[in-house]
Amino acid sequence: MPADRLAAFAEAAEVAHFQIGVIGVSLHCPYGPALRDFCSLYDDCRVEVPPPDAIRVDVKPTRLGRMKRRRYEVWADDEHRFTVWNNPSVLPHIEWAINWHIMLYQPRYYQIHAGVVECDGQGVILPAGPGCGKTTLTAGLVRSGWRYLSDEFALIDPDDLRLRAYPKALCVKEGSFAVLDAMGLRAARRRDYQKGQKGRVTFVKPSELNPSAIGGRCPVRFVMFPKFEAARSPRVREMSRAEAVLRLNEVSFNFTKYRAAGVQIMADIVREARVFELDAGPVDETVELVRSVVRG
Amino acid sequence: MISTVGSQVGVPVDGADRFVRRGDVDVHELDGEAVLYDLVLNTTCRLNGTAYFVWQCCDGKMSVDDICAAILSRFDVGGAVARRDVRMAVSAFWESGLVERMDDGVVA
Repeated sequence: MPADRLAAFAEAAEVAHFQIGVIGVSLHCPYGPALRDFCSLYDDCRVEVPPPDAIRVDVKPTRLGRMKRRRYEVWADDEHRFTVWNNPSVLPHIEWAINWHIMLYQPRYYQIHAGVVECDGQGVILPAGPGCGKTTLTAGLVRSGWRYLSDEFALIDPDDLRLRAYPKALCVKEGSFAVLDAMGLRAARRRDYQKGQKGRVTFVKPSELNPSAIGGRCPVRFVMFPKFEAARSPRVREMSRAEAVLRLNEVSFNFTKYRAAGVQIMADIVREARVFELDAGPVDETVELVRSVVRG
Repeated sequence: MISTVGSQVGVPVDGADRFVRRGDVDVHELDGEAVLYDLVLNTTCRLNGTAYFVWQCCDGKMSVDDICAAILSRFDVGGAVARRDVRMAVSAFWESGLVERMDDGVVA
C-alpha cells in the first residue's frame, strides 16, 4: 500500500464521527479499545463526515517520567479536560469531556440535569443532581417500552419549548449493576470502566434496553423530581409549579447564560406540565408508579 | 409564607410605612403563587399565594396597615396573624432588596 494511502488509512482508523441526537461528535482517538467501544456504543449514530458544529474530542497518548508511564490527555475542542492514567478510564472520560463541553458551549438549548423519556409523544423529565437514581429509573422506563432522549440532559429548545434528544449511552454506576442484571441486561454490560472518584461504571446502549428506544422532539408534559431510597415504597406528590421552577433552577446547567430568559422558559414549561416529587424505591415498582401517573 | 426570601426575617417595619416593588424584578405567576427573578442580583424566589398578594399590594401607595386590612378582607385570618404575616413578608422583601421604602426618597 502506498505510504500516503497507508497514512490515510491509519488516520481514518483513529477518527470516527457521530450524530448523537442533536449533538455532533468527532472522536480522534489512537487508543484502539476506547475508540472501538465508543463506536460499538454509538454504531447507529455513525456518520461519514464530521457533523456541523461537532465537538472534536482528542485523546492524546503520552508518556511521562523515567518509567515512561503511559497516560492519556483528553481534549475537547482544543481545551484540555482530563489526564487519564489507566486504560479503563479513557472511555468514561471521553464521555465526560463531551458532557462538560455541552454544558459550557451548547447555548442553543436550555439545559437541565435530568433523565428524559417520552411516552406517546409526552415528554417526561426527571430532574435531579448526581446519585438520585435518574439513570436507573430512565433505564427502567425505556426497558418498559418508553422512548429515550437522555439520561443526563434535558435539552430544551427556547424557540418552541420542545425537548431535543441527546440519546447518549446510559452511564450506570456500580451501585446499580445489580438492577441492570435484574432487568435482564447483564449482557448489555459489556465492560466495566473506571470514572475517577465516581468509581466503576458501565455503559448501556439505548437500543439494548428497547430496540425502538430513541425518542424525538416532544413537549414536556410531566416533571418528576426523583429521590431514591432503596427500602421504601415509591410514591408521588403533586407539587406547586412555582416550587418546581426553583427546583429546576437548582439543576439547570446553563442558567447563567439565560438568566431571566431561563426563568421564563422554566415557568412556561411547568405551566404546561404536571409536576411531582417522586420518592423512588425499587426500580420496577417505581416504573409502574410513573407509568400509572403518566398514563392516567 | 415565603419560601426563599429572607432567611433572617427581622428588619422592623412600621404600620405607616409604604413600600414599592422594584421595577427590575420579573414576576411569573403560577397557580396563584409567583416566582420572582431579580434581574440585578440574579436571584430567584418563590412566593406563596398570600406573599404574592402582599407583593402586589406594595405599590408605594398602600401602607403596611392598609395591606393588613386588604389581607383581612380577602383571607380568612385574624388580625394578629395578618399583621404578623404582612410585616414578615414586607420585611423579607425589603431585606432582600425586592422593594424599596417610600421614605427613602423613592417616588412611586
